[in-house]
Amino acid sequence: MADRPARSEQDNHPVPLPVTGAPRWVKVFGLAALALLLLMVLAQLVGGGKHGPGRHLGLPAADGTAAVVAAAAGHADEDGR
Amino acid sequence: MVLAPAVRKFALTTHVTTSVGWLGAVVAFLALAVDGLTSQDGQTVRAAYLSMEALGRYVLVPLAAASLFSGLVQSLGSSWGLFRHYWVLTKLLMTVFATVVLLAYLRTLSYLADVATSGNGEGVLPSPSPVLHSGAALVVLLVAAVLSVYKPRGVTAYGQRKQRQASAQSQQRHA
Repeated sequence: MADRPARSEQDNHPVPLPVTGAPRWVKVFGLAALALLLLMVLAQLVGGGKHGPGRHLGLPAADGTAAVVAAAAGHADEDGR
Repeated sequence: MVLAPAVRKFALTTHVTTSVGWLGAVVAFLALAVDGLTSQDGQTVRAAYLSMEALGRYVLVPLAAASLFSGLVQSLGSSWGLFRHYWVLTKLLMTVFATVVLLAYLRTLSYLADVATSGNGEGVLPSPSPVLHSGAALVVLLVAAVLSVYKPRGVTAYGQRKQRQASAQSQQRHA
């Protein structure tokens, strides 16, 4: 439900609303965002804080797929593609 | 400044199409990321990472920029404003965050595509990183979409101050 400013019918100007704090959903959002931010900072610290493409990469493939990719790349180069 | 109705509708149409388009492109990116991560065929894995880089650079980035810009125009040109309502402010922060992360992630995508092309960097591919990032992006964009439709209540302190100022000016005029 939207909370557009209330307007009086006579002059079409906003009626002042009582001063209120942030609604609960905003506080929940804020806490969740803070928690995620802390998680990201922790991940940075645990991961050595290095920037660049390498910091996000996971563990090496255990099923030999990397070798297959390398072989496929080499094969493609030989074909001139 | 409130825009004319025709201009507002154009801005709204642009914002909706680019935002939903961005969401759809992220879903497509996620599909490629999952395929690249799970496929046992080297050619498929290689193609997935090459495609992800192209999708990110030529589709995701333009759509993200267009969504952000049209959202700014849409909010500033309407009575909602940019900082007056919490749902608008939350969407703005989420969109800016997602766009910044996307731009930073292009380097990772280029690196993964280079590895896929050259075949060097053993152990780098397949990588769960694109799956994680696109999954998180999907969540962020879905939440933004929900906020857009439901527009949950909540006026910021700035918004309340603006409303009081407008009310005071109205009372002065009629005094």
